Amino acid sequence: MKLEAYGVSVGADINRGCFCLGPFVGQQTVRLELDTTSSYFKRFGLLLAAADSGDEDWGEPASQIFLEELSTRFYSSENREADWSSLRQSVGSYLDEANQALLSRLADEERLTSSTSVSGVALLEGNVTMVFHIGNCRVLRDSGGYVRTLTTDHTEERTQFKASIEEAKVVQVAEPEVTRYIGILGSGIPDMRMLTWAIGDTFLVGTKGWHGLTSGVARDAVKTALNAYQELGDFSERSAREAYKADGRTNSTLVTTRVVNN
Amino acid sequence: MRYRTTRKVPRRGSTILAPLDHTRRVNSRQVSRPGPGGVLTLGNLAPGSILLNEYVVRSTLHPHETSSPGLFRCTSRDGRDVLLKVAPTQHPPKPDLWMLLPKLDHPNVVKTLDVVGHDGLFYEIQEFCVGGSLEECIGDKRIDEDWITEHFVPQVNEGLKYLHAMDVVHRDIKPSNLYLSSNDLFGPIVLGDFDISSVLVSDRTSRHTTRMAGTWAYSAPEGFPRFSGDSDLSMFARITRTADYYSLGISIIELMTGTTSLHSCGLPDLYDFYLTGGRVELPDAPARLLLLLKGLLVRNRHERWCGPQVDRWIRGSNVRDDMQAIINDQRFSIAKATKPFSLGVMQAVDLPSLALAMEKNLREAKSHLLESDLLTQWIENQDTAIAHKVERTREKYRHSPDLAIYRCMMLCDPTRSFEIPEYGTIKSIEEWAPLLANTATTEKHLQAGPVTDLELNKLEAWLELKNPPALATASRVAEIRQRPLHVRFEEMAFLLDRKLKYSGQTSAFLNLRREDKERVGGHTPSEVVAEALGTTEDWDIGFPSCFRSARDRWQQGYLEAWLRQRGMVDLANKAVAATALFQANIDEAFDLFLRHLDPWAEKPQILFDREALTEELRIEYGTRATISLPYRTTGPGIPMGSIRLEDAPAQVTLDTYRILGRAGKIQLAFHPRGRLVEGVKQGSFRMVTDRGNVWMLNDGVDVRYHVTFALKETLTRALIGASAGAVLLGGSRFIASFWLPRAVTAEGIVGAPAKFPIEPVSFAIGSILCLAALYGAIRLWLTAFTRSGL
Repeated sequence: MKLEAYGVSVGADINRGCFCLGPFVGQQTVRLELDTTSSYFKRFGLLLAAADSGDEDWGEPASQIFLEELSTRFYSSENREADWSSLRQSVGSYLDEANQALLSRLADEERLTSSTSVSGVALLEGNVTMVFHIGNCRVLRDSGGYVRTLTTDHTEERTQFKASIEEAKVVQVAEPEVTRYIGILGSGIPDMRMLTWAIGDTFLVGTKGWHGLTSGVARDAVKTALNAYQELGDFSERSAREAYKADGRTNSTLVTTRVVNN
Repeated sequence: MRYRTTRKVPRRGSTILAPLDHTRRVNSRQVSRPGPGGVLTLGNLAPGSILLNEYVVRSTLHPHETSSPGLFRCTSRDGRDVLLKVAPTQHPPKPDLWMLLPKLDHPNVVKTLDVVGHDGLFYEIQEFCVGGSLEECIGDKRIDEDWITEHFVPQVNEGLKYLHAMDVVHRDIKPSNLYLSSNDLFGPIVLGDFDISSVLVSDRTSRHTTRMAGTWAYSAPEGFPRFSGDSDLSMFARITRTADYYSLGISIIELMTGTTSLHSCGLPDLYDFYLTGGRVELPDAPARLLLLLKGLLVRNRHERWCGPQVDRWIRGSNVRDDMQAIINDQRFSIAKATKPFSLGVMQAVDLPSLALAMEKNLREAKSHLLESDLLTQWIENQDTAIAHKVERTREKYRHSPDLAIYRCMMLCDPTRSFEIPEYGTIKSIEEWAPLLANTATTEKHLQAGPVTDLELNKLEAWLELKNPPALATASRVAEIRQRPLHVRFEEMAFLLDRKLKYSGQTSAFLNLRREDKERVGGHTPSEVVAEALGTTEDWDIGFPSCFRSARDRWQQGYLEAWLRQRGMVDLANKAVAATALFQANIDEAFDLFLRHLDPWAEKPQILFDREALTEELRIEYGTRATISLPYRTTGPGIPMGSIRLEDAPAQVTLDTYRILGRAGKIQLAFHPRGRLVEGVKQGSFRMVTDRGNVWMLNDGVDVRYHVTFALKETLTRALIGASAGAVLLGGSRFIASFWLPRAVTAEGIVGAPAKFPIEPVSFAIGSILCLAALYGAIRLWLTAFTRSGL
């Protein structure tokens, strides 16, 4: 088995989102292939994360700082021996440490007063998947043509728009307030979920600009696009651009990975 | 209606005339008008009594009393078997209904042939239902969900619809008032006993009544006066058409379980029961039947299911309103009621109804299950444990949406039957193979449906999750799923039917289509082997078809499948390993397989040509001779083995020692050579079977041979040796003559002096050769001659 992964970020020149694809953190389109039998994967696994800009000035550096800190911590320790409970604990501590690091940087830089949201997925040996998110970035998974949202937004009206097929009906409601975020005044407490990965799974990690309650593309559109574009790179590129084009207000950042047979 | 009031009858108290035929005529009632006053009851009537001057009483089924009707089985003048019902004197029939009864004509309503008012008594002459009432059938094992669903409900519904269309409300639907027209439980069911029925004009849905009627346990809530729902009319009970359907629901429960939770209640208890919002306890039943019961037992008469809803239920096409009625009823009684879950036009109120809704709206259900959390959250409200299992299921089976949704349905309703698309539904796993065998056109068709990975996966899930679970069978099904597609049905059949025979001549599919007695094949390996090998006679006329077809089925893996399911896996594996040696010749391999299964199976016998053996073999001394001994085989099977020699001298060897094929040759090589010993002119030895599946009469055959001297060869040798010596002698002289000074002549050669240096050597060698050849020939001849017996 191997993991094909793509990272795409589309948006205005300033204040774009940021993504983490393996050890790479940035905004430019990245393609990665990783064999699941490789020692690298066995030691570290694969981390994908997307951080929003928070629709605020200087949100972009904040997300980059957070993801760099997170990536550094994730790839500095081996996850080979991690069982489910310890993995949950360690990923939780990475997120917390990354948030603390971000806060210290924000304190140093006067202009960096932003806060943002993040979501991510870590694929590890033993078919273990750790899904985490803080705020309204989302993680979706496509299995057998069915796309399921694995996260529930941390927003005030969250009970009104739980990820469902009815989501499209409420897409016009006023954007709810994000209740959890990283950065200044944010609690930084993640929601984490342990799942499994298998051949045929596609994990989609995106910011709200790509797939949000009132912005980006709807889940049905994601399903359609996944069916239309067999190549994950094509899908990622077009889906991120389509989302940005549809909304235009905020950046669209998407990191995808698909488990395929060699 | 005919009132036979013109016939003169003796006054009350007058003498009953004894007719010549000694039958008792019951016509001595003095009546002035219908009613209880002054009218005597008939009580029990002796067989032979005559009623209405034309019906001969055969038996009294129920004596006529003031408060209960008399039931008499009678024979009419034309020999017809009829039931004569006499209304109780305290409760004369209602005139409107009384006039309507003879007009009722429907296959599911008892036929009233005539109604007669006579002497103040009211007689109904009805067709006699020989099957008796359904009350007598309670406890019959044939009364199951299928019978109720497919036989009982449709017929009673038709009867009720007809009665209601005729503006008649039965008011007393219960098993004892439902009759079988014939002695067959699966025959027509008719509604009878209209004693307390009422006529309700068609533009009204209900009317008040001061008389509470019907049997209490079967009565709808509105049948009790305090539940009429209208406070100003609370002293009255209500007559409604839908009350009949409520009674039908109670009757279904009674037929299924033998009783209901209300049967032990007295009238005050029933008042309290309905006052406190009680609901009749539903039995364990498939979700579909539970749905009907819930619909029939809705307490609000306005929302209760009746004819149209039951029709839709029969067709499996209930609409949202039908479900809403049940939901409303649930809300009424269950304080903890949750918001129903909508799937398509259906709304689920509990887990079984959710399973049903998912089945009817598969696509939407799959989307809900695999793409959102709403469904699992709703299930969590109902049952946390089930929700946890559903969550795990949808995660584990996310790449097989069909399987995921099926497992989810089973988790929600473990009482579900297993549906095989296009073939039917089974309640127990034992029905699987017979249903498919009897429904499918060919076995090939099954390979595209019920034995595919998905369907077997579903079957496995059903076995695992049904109540009670069959985990062992489920794991066996999982093993069978790994087999080739064409073997799966047969192996499943062997798994599920321990008595199913294996036959090399026909498939289990065809065997299952036969009656038990007509099935071919065997239960044990020896029976199976015997069937495959056939008899000696079969083999005498050629390669038997029984062996050929058994071999073909074995090649396709059916025999191994049977062995696996009969617990002979090791034997099958050993046999397979053994036959691997014979891949080139499949017949031999199959024979070997069979003999592994049954080592005591009849073996083929090797027969050598008797003539070849009776004639003594003559072998020339010093020559290599090869003798072919043809053999043939009798008995079943392909011979495989070898021959060895017993007590044979070293000069006799076997060139061909293997027995292969039904006919062939064994080749013996004789090579008498070396120093012949005195007395060995004749020899004998035995040929016996060494290894294999063959045998010979007397364990072997004797072979005798005689060694003769080769005269020609001896003479030839002597001649050649002598000639060589002579040539060598003369040759030396000839060569020497080339060096002679004169022309070569005979005299010159002979007389020439020896000049050639090697002449003496060649002369000496030639002489020795010549003498040695002559000596050897003479010696050989003499020795052989002596020992050849010539």
